[in-house]
Amino acid sequence: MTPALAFEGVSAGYSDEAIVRDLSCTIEDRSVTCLIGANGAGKSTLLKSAFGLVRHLGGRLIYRGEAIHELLPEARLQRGIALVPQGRCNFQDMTVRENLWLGAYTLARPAAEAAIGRRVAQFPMLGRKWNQLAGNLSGGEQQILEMSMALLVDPTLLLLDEPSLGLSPKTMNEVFAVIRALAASGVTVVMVEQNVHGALAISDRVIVLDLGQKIFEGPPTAVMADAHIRTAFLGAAP
Amino acid sequence: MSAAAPFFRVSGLSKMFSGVRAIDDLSFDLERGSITGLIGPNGSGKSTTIDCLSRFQSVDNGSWWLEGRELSHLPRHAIARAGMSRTFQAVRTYDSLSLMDNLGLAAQEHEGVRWWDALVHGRAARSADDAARLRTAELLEIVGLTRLAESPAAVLSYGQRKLLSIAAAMMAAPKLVLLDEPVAGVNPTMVLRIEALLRLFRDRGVTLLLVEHNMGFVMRLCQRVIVLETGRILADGDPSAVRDDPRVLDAYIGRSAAGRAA
Repeated sequence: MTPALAFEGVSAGYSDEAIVRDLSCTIEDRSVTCLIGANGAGKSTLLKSAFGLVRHLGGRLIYRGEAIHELLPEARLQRGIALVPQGRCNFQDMTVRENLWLGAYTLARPAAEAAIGRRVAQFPMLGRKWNQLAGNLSGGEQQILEMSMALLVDPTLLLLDEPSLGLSPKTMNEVFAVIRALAASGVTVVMVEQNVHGALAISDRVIVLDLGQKIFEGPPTAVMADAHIRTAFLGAAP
Repeated sequence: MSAAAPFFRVSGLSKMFSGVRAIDDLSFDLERGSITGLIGPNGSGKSTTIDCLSRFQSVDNGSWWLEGRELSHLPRHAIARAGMSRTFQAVRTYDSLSLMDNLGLAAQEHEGVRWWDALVHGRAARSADDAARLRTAELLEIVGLTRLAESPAAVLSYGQRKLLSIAAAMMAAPKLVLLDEPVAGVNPTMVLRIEALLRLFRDRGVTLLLVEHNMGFVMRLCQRVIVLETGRILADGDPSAVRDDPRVLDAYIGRSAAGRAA
């Protein structure tokens, strides 16, 4: 396996105060990496730092051999990095169709049509609710729409902030299966998840954050075997 | 309704969005002091039900009563004052205000305390304010945020914001609280904390109706589960019976996830 993304002593935050502090880790190519930790541990901040949405306060970020920490988000997008943020970020007053076309605006029309067709085949709900306003979709449906929009540009590195948030168990498993299939097709995935047990089942590697620092890194089996982490972060009885 | 009326009754609730029936003639009762889960596929009408009952969404048809008093014609603040409050999927906090002030604002929203009350009825408003302060301190203690009482809500983690939003819903000492995904996006350890908290409120007499996808949480906490599909009740009953219902497995849980939900 070769590294796709490397954090080298990265510090990042929303002001001069670092939320993520001096963090180093390597994300392997075509793998699924899950970031876990308590709420407020810096997981979403780390994810946003890879896309350039927070202040870079130190260290280096290397994507496929290139330093990207000083690049704007659009330049990172051009290099194949896409972020699906947490929450409902769709254009609420636009229909599902309009949202998808907006997500494909960088593509030529035939490529956009093909890309949208693939996502509708993958998530039939998009076709069923084609002319509905995004704001009238359920929270889970909006989550699926948002993820579909990011996938339209065929990213090589997909950053997902709680992809299962608000999804029914059945849809959550469908989304997790899609994530696994994306990795198999060559996409590197880094995701933040609170639905830890479901997420670990599809992850190759887990990074545990606490107070902005990495406190554990390893395969899911090693995380599950660590008594402290199971108690502190996975809700197991002490 | 008569004195023997159910604690809470919904009858014939319907709501359409752009020609799509989000809630379709929905009727159910809730028992006093119960915790009921409202589950179902994405888009089945769960959150819309909460939005309609709390009047954050207009209603096409239907009526609902709390302890025999009809709420369906009341505006949202009057519904809260009548004893029914709610929380939201997306946590709503005023980040620059302290936790105390966040809860104080929640009290005003529920109680309908207005600025002209403070001017015209100064003493009464101050008395209400004193009571709200006591309630605020008590609730912050219960949810374990007392040490952050004077801190701005901006310092809270997402899980702590969920705790604050539950405390806000409890400010007006409600009889019934509708909770929209109280543990979505919350780490597993905090899920257990919120679970214990909701049990505590139930033990203090608050009836809870909660929308949630975390099936472990629902199975442990609820004594009854209502499953919605396309705005109608697909199943209703004991959690384990509902979980094992083949229709629920197909529509909501999925066959492969069934084991994990247990």
